[in-house]
Amino acid sequence: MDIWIFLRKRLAHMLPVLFGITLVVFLMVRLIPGDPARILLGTHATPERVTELRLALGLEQPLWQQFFVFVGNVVRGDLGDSLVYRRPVLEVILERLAPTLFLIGYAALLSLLVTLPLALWAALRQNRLPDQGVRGFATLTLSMPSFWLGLNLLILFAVRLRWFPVAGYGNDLRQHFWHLFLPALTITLALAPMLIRSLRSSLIDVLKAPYVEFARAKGVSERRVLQHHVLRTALSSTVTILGLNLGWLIGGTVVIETVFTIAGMGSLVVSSIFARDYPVIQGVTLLFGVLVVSINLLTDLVYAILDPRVTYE
Amino acid sequence: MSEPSTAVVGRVNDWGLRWREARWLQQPALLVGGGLLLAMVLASLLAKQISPYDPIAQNLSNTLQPPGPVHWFGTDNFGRDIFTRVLHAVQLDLQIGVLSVLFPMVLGLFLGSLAGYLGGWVETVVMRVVDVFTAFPFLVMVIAIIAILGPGLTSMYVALTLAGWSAYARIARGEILVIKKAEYVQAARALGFSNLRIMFRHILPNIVTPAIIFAMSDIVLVILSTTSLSFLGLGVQPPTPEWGSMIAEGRPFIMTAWWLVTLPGMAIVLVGLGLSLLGDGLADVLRTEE
Repeated sequence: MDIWIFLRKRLAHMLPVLFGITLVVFLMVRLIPGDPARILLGTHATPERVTELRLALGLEQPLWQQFFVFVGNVVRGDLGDSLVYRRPVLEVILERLAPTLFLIGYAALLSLLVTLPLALWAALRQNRLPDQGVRGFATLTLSMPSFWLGLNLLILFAVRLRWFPVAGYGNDLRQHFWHLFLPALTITLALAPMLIRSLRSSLIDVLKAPYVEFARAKGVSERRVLQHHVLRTALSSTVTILGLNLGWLIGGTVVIETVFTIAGMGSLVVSSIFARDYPVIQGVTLLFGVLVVSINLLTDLVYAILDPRVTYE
Repeated sequence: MSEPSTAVVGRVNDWGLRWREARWLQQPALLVGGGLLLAMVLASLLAKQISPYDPIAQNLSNTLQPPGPVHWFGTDNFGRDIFTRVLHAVQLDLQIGVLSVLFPMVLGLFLGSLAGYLGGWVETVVMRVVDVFTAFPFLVMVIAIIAILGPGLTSMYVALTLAGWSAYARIARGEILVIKKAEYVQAARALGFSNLRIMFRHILPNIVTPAIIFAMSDIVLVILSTTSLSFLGLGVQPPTPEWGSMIAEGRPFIMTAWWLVTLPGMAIVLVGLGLSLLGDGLADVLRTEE
């Protein structure tokens, strides 16, 4: 089967999920007691503005018609206006998108760099000291709340040793890498243990697989066996696990951005809750949901490309 | 109460056998994890005997004292003894953790079993909803729900339940699809038992084990999430002693007083480790029994 058919099938699977996410975000504001128009405009709105928005949202119409109005607006990129910033929500969010995406990508990259050697080391020395050490370390970091870990890294490496800045995102690419190192490291220390655990057990399975035995039997060097036969297979399962954990990764950015004072979407949603800026909360929730769905699609594709045994069904 | 059937008597014998074999006592992880948690709970119950200080009353002449023999964990910006506050928070934090796993587990098992057992449109609807809830990043969904309900402990429970049930629903449905076809269930149906009776007497006991194994790994992540929420100011509110909100209160002082942040977090790490070990041990015991 062709990869385009695979893509089309997966997209068809995505549609009901996207529909559900939009419905939940739509219902968010409708479920708060009171007039949605007044909630969306805040307490200081003039009666004229409220009437205007009531008409625009179609609040006189039945709920399902309002939903279609909402979907129509979302598709056109109209997420309403922020109560705090007095500007379109989409504009506010897009300004905050880059630091968040950079942090997610950076953390994913760091996690892979940590996971691959450690998992391989643990799998090759199964049940011996390196394996137990790596597993013990994983259990320990899995028990640490990431906000606390982040604050401690901040105290040690930014406040005491002054190796890294205390807050912010920086102005160019080099600065981004420098500023976001501690936040990305914090997420990595939370994410890598999960990846290491899964990759270790899948490596152990692959190392026993008949085709690896065969490669060894026909005299392929151990290094080549590892590179060509073991890692390639195990890597594709790591990509899947990384994809599954991206929800956690994205949730993690909400907390980490607050800890390190990074002006991303995560810190935006937290400050919006205290400001009761509902349109922004709706917008960020919607975008995060769409982001996770798209990333899952992407990991499925990468998986299919890495592992030739996957038939596109 | 109905008269005890042979199945129940069999189970009692089973328990006796289990204790004689002492499989529970052969799990070091289970013992260390359980011991750690038990020690923490005992320490918090004896908090008033262990420490002479009040967890909430302020003492503004004694602020930001570093850790030492008088104040083991130092004092915070209101002059309160941090060790005392950490001790007093044990019960609240553990209670939040347990309930935040129990509520979604009950809801998820109920909806998932319903979907798996009844099939048809009920299954389609429930599983589509599960798909949507799984697609949302957990913490983002929790935060969105708290945004609607307003910050606080009750909102946090509601949010964690609504965001967490879908995994349990998946487990329950998967197990039920298998069990539904088992001989003893077919037999119960042939005997003309009601759907409810078959569900509660014959099916539910069998899906509880995998659900508990999952819950034990879930509870560590959930406790980390609840402390994160309180850290963000969305859960337990100050001045109630709670580890996450204590760390949030200490955050403005990281430049000079590290102990406000670092030491309360140690308690979270200990609970996390205790629960991980307990969960691993329990999973081993339950799996070998299956």
